[in-house]
Amino acid sequence: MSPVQTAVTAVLTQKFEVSPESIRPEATLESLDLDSLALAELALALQEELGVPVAEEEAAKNSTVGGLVAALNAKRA
Amino acid sequence: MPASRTPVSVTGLGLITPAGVGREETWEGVLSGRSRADTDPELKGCAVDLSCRIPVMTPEQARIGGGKAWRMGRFSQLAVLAAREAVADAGLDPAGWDGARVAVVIGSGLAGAMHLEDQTLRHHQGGPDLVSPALVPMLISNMAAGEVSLDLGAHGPSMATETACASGASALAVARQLLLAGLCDIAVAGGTEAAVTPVIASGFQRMGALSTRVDEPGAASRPFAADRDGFVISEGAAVLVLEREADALARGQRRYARLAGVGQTSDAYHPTAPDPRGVHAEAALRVALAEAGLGPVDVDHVNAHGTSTLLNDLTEAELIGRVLRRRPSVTAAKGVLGHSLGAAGAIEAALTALTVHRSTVPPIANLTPDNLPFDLDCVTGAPRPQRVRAAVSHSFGFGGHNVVLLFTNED
Repeated sequence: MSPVQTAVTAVLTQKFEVSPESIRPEATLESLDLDSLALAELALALQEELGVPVAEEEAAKNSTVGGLVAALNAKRA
Repeated sequence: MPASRTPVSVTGLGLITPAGVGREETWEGVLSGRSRADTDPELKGCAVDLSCRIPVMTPEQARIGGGKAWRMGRFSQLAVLAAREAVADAGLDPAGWDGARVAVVIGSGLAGAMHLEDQTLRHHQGGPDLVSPALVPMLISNMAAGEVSLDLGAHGPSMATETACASGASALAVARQLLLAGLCDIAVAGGTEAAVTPVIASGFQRMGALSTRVDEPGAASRPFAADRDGFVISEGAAVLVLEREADALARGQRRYARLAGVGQTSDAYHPTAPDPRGVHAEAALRVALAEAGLGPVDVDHVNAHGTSTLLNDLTEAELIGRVLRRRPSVTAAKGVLGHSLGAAGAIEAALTALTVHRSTVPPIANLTPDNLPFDLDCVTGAPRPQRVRAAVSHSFGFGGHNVVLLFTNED
């Protein structure tokens, strides 16, 4: 697992108590029960964890876990 | 029967305090008479670094569930956990009740101040982008009531009460009125506080309210003792379930005590000092007695506000001695638990209901008969068995708020 993947999984399971098996690449953040307040908090948590800015549209309702990981990986490259 | 004489019963209790997580652990801890005050590493560098802390909770005890804990201030989390315990203790199941008839009233003194402090530091260090989007819900004082109502599916009136160190008692006063007015059938009410932080503790220290016995933490909180010198800051939550007695009887529910009278007055004297004559605190006591149809001689027991500050304990001791001439037994839970500010009134109300139900008065920590400068029957050393028919719980808050709750036994 890449550092980005590890961070995304950790924040989703620990902070938002998402079950690990539901964190699939194609799962949207909305399907993981994250509302708009939670999405904003997710972006902040990932920003702090990874040291890169996370834009609102990168962690939106219809963003997928895979898409988010790819976008953050690209930023860190 | 006038509305104020319609009996209201306490049918469920939930407690989280420095003496323990849960009602029974708290009761046993308070009966031990051993102070829970200690040096607090999080207050390192403060002129007074003492506090009473809730024991570290197991993941099971702390579980909010549903991925919601991150957005709740600690004071809201404590309220949710205590409310669940109280509702279960009352034999109620939120899955099956008519939520429209359930009210929630939860008081807090400083609410999410600890989160504001934390986020202010982040703002200073990293600018606006570092401020959590959950700050406002973690901060605002009504959110304990909001989260409890959400957790329980309670759709009746819900609100916070804010009367500083009387907030928890005010919540019970309001909840009783909602029941008497017929605006709900079940009231889930209490107080919560989680504001042990360096800035808040320093604020109390700077105004001279805290005990400075930093070298003897366990001896610092000593209500009514001749050498008392201030309170120890604390945290906790208590939630009580109130119902009209007829409803509780109809479903065969065990009742701890009856909340038979409430008196609420204001000193209108000074923002933070009690009126030294105690006349308005006395008026609150007399209103509570009148509501219950009782006289001063009927009071067997006082669960005092007893902060361990010079002025509060003096004024309160004089009030008890002046009005309650039959020398009721007196206890003060802040000796063991410290002063949990907005939670204290509800915690002490719950303990008073337990005293009435279990015929047992807890002792005052750090008080010995030879160190008691007042002519009061303070319980010291060990719990005292006593059949209590009528007990009052005093709460006095900054702002001059006086709240007296009067509990009677259910026999």
